[in-house]
Amino acid sequence: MAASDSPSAALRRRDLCSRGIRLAGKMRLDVVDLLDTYVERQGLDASASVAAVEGVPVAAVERWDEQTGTQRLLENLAAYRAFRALLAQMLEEQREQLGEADAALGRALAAVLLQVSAFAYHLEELLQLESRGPPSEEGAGPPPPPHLSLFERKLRGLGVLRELAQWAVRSARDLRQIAKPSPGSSSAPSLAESP
Amino acid sequence: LSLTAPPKEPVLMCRSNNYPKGFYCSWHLPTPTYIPNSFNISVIHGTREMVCEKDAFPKNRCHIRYLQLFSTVKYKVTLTVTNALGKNSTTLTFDEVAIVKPDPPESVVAKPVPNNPRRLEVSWQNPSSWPDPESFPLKFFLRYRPLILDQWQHVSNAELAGREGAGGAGGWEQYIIQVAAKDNDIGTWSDWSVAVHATPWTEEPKHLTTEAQVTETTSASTSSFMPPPTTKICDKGAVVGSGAVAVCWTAGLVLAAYGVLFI
Repeated sequence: MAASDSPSAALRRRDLCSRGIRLAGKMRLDVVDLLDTYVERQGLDASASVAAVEGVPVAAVERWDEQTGTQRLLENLAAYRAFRALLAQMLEEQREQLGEADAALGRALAAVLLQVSAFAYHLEELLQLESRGPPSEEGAGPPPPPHLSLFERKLRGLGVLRELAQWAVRSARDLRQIAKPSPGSSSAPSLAESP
Repeated sequence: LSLTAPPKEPVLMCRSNNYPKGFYCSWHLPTPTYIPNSFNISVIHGTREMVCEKDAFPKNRCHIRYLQLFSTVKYKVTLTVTNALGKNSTTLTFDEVAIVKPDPPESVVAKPVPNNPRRLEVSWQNPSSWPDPESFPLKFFLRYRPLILDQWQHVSNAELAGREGAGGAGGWEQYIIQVAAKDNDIGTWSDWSVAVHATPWTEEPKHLTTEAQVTETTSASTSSFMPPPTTKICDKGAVVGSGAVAVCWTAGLVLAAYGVLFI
């Protein structure tokens, strides 16, 4: 039996999924609060439409129910690694732009960045249960920040946070799918086979 | 004098009660035209036009299947109504999550708890229209009141509300209970379920005491009604949605596996 199919691995997977679901839930609440703060502090319209931004992982997915567990984890991990870099950029830009004038926004950004990093690590642990482990991050960094005006950077930040909020919802759903026991089994299916 | 008229702006509503499968839109005219009308609906998601499959009955409804989930792109639904005298239209724009509203919980049952005059046990089922409660769990909200009072007490998924029995011997005779449901993460609360009535267990046949008589004559007044003590929020870990169970204790209302026990 493959290591990922052993009962102890299945139990570990389910435990990690449960904790991951709680992390995702907390993260979503904080991102929604951060969105409100960001819109207000940046003087934006909350209903403004933001076109898809290069380098921002899009949560939207087709045939979501047909994805395997491994696909879900890999897509989630790629997304949160990207968000980690994007939020770090936003934090840097916010400090340059507003400095100490808006420490609250900076703290909120930093807090969400921490949660995103923790969630990415959590996903790596889940992928460790797979025989091949998580992909390396070499060359996986975000594209260099494009040269944008201040207003364009603000809109880009709005797009980042909106997609992150959607990802937090999607991640909880993905982890619940992964944690589901397969029919006729009391343990969760291996990630390669689980839809 | 002709009563026939061109259509006024139609009333359009869209809702997902079976997330993540899809959503439906339904419509009607605010006033009759007295001549045949035809309805045309278009659904746009980003740059993609989606098919809204009309129901055979009722005729003023159609269904859309979600092709994508977790999208931040809004849906735009436009309904146009046309008759021999003119046309009118209306448009709704919304997020995928904004229209998610489950149907009310089903099979709500409230029963007395033997040998416990201060408790009732309430159970319910997920709405049958909700396709995958395991991946998309619901959370619940319960409200109850004595039959003869107007003020509801509310109990959220993991909250407890306790109250002392008002009026002396052990609370009111009969209660009305209703339950509502919501996706754990998105959307809005369902309508309240069908109301159920229940009477707590009593040791002997009920007879009115002087104290109870005084209480009943003043039942419309809240001055003799003790508000519930401060609710206690359960550990999130203890909360599970749908027919599953959340157990949180105080001296009062307990939300338990398939049950709510309250004093």
